[in-house]
Amino acid sequence: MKNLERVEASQEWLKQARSFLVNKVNQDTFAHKTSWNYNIKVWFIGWQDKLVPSPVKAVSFLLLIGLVSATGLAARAEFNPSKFLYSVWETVERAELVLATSPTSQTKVYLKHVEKTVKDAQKLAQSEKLDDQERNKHINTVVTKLKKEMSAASASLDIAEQTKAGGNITELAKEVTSNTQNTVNALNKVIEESEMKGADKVAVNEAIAATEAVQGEAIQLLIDQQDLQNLSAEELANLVVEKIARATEQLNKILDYFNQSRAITPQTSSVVTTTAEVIDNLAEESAETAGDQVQATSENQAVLTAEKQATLNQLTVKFQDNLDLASDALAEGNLTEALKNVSNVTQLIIQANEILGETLDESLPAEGNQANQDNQSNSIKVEGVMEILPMETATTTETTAAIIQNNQADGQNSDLINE
Amino acid sequence: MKEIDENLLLFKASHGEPEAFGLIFDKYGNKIYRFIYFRVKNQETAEDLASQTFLKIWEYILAGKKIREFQAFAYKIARNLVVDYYRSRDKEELPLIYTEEEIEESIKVDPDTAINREILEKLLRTLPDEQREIIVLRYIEDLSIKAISKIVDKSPGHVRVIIHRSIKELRKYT
Repeated sequence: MKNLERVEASQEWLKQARSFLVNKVNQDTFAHKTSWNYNIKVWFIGWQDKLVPSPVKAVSFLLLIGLVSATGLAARAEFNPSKFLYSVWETVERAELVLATSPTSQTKVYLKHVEKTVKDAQKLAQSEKLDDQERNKHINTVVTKLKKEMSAASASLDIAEQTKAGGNITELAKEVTSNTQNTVNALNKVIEESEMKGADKVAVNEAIAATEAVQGEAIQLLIDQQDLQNLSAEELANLVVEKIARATEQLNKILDYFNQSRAITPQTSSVVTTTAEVIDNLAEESAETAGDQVQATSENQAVLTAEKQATLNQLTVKFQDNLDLASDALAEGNLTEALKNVSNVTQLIIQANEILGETLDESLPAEGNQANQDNQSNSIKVEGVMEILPMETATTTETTAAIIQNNQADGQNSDLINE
Repeated sequence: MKEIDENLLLFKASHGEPEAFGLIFDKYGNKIYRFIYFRVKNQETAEDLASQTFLKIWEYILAGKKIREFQAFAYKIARNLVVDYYRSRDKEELPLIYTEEEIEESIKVDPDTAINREILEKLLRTLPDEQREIIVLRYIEDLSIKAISKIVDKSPGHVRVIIHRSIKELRKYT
């Protein structure tokens, strides 16, 4: 029967009839003028489908009520993805998403899910009931979910922006920025608390990188809306500076991988007073890093293949370049460019994580990762690489925070932005 | 295009946006033509009646009347126009072009091989008008039983019975 669908009117008739009808409508409505009343009605009809619930939404709502009342609360408390109640909660989350009628509300729902998922990861990291292998496996499952939720939140935010939700978008982007900040902090704690090593950390680091990327997009959106919404240039600059500091911190942590058995003597940072100085310092330190690394890698043949050494060297140089560019852009008040360069650093961190994750796993003895921490011979193998670690995470973060405060006090930061 | 969008287009058309009605025609032009074509078996007549259908729809909108379900409404107008067309031709019986004998000779369908459009069309025209119209709506236009029942003014149960009978009829030729 479907063959008969091909029975169609001639193109000539279709054209003529359409043209005739359009002309007829034009003639008959010539005297009509659009009024505010007409515009309101058009708007209302367009939104009617969002206001009137579809059967799918109604069923989802009922399902949500049922699940929340019966098992929802118990399911919400479950953090182990291998348990049945966890999948029940995932169903509730899906129902929540169906009920979200606009891109703005969808973004908020995704952010809510991210908060729950990151808490699950933290609970897993703290759980004493699970052995290391099981814990890492579940954490990886949960952070993979988190990564998807983050991407979905970012996509919804993008759609919300394109549909011009106005002032709400700025608030939403701020919410995303704050949520992503908390998520990154929480994920870093997950790594610390679960004492993950090598390749086990890759999924969490990827989730951190994905979250950073989403935050970058949200900050970019705020920068775009800066003039429209009268956002403070100083506030935006601070967000970018914090991001640069975090990127540096992440890079330091990656390099710390290689010196797990060696104590790091904290550096005392010089007192700096402007954001640009922080960036310059970071860039200088990074330059020293690159130089050291070239010499150091030759001592590290047992752990790193020549190919991986070369890649790591390249990544370090690229990191330095991007940091320099970010510094210049920030000094010129070009936040977009600065943000772009920080995003590049995030991408480089992902690549470095992958290489180092593989390398540590290859170098570890069969008994497990923990043994590496006590095994001096293994640590000697990575000693060469450790020489490239002049940047101190804690010092950098503290300094940046202090700088932001200083700048807020003396207004130097806003001078930078206005240049 | 959802029902809600159609309402929006109709509303826009009635308030001086002719292109909105053009879009409605783009979606339903061929469908209405096909529905009429299988009733009248004449391309020119089908085109003429399809044009009249859209004009009637427009007059209805222009009169300020509200259309709740556009699809059912459009098919119903087309159906009434076909009925009027045959009435105007001195109450001529709705066409059954092929006689039983001709059909017996020309249409023999092997159930294991795909049949072409011409044979299908001939088969379809062996059905009484009422059955043919429902089969067209159900299997060519993919309308639901409920939607068909609104167009032909019969209960959904009755529509199902007619479809069952029609299929039984068609099986005679296999």
